[in-house]
Amino acid sequence: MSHESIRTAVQLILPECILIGTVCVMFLTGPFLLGRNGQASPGLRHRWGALALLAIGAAAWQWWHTTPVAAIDGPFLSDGLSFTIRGIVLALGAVLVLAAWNQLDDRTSAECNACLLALLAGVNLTAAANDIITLFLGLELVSIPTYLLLYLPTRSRPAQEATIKYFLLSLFSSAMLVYGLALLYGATGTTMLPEIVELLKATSLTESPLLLIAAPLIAAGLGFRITAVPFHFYAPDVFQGVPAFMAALLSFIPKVVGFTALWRLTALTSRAAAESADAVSTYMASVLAVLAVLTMFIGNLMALRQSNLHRLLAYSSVAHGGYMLVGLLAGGGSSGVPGGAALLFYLAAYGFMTIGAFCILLAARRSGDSIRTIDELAGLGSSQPLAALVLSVFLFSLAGLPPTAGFLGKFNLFLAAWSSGVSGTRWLAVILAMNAAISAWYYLRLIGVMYLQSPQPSTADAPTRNLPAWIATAVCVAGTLGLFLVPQAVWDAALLATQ
Amino acid sequence: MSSFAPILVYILVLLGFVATNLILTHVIGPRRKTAVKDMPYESGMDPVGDARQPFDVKFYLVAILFLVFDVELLFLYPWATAAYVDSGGVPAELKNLMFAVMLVFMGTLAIAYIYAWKHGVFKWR
Repeated sequence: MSHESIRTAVQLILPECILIGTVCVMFLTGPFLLGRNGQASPGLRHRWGALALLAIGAAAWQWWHTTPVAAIDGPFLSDGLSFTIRGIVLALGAVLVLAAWNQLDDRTSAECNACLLALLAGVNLTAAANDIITLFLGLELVSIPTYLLLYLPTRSRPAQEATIKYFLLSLFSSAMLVYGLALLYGATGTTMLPEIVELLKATSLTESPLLLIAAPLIAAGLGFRITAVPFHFYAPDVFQGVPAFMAALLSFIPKVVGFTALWRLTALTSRAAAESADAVSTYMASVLAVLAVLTMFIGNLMALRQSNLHRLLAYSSVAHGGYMLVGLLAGGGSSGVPGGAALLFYLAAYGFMTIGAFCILLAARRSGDSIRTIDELAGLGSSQPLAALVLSVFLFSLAGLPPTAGFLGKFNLFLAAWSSGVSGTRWLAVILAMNAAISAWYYLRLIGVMYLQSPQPSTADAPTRNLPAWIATAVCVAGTLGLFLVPQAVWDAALLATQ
Repeated sequence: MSSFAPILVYILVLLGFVATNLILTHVIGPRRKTAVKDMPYESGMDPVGDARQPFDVKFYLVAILFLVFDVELLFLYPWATAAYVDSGGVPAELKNLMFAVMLVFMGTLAIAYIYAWKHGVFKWR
């Protein structure tokens, strides 16, 4: 490691340095702006929100001007995957800041915004990791601010329950992951990801039985983050207990970071397929394929029975995790649609539609909390036509119907799994299509409730509109429709990542 | 075998020290018995009863801050012992860079310290 390579490494993560620098400023000045009794002047949250948006803007500007550098020996790299993930995360991070805006109180908004920025930096560092140590650090930089964000905004009993559940399970999953990574290091003798990937493709399980244990541990640790099925139990309870912006964040950010880490670790998306049938990456793929099937079916079947919207969207996020696993398993593919590109495109589309759905549930209410039960949706079509229309767009997209991003995303995933030509992945494609049909039932039922049932007597709402949440919703509508109408730029970026 | 002789001496001294101390405290130590003193020692907690009782959050705060500075020392020691030796330490061209990195590290810790201080963690309320 020389002077030059350290300098290159720092230059590769300049957008994250901007975010972390802003986090430091927020934590440093935040306590000094509070009064002697710990109370803040009203409206302080607007300043912190604006600063957070500014930091994300500066990071995005820096991101746009990064040039891919071939730094194979450093701790970071700047390739197509990190470019695409950074773009998606910064855009949707700004949406999350807007969604959180009025759900934070003035007293804790500095810490909350700082945690949001730290978490975005963590996702981007994971995407830029070239080493299992930086990969794990990035994952933890996502987890730890999430714990704070779960409890800081609301201090209710459901929030307590959600925080404890998420905290303990997340710790266990991190422990399992780091154990798996340690065994991976023991078996391969290197921490550099490109070398590990090569070894995983070339090594067979009989040569290195350590990997037989490492692979399930890694799948479990990251499966928690992508809410793959045996590790999904926390999702509905946590989503139910936390504010809408946190539910939006939890449905998207852990998925991005989990799939990025899986992408880097499993070697499933690289173009050259595994050499032999008993190679470690083939074994890893079969573990993940089982998880994918379970995740799709259980997520969708459980969602059918939910009456709480946060729980319903939690199970929907479980199911979507399964769809994306299919994309990962479809791999690079020497012919046809590359599964990795389909996965990345779906991540972007899913981010816009799920965050948008939570945003409109939040914005439709003026009381500061979101709409939480299906009964409250009744008659929204006549009482708030705009909100009902917007929510319908997101639900159409989640169900995978045109003219929305969700349709193109699912179509790409199906095509990728089908065109890979392996019979196992073709079965996954069939199961994906079946599940898309199951999921349509519970999404379209909500639209039916909004337009066909008569409204309930309305409760008195506070007179102010939640303007930032409406702006966030507008951005998400633009994203959801835009990715259907003009998908080429994002698709090109996703294709770039698979090369 | 003779190279292990110092270890044998060490073990003997160790056992002797423990035995002497135990015997001496029993022989010449004053005994004033109170109910609290007769309790088994359990780090200041009540040794009998439910272990899952809530206790003050300020203990956690102090413990966490202690960990922060503990880890800081852990990072400072290797750097301090390797940075300014003539051979075998940090390469000459990296010395200034490493110094800057350590400053950044201490700076972030200082931010955490100021944050905790301003929020009144050090006031034992």
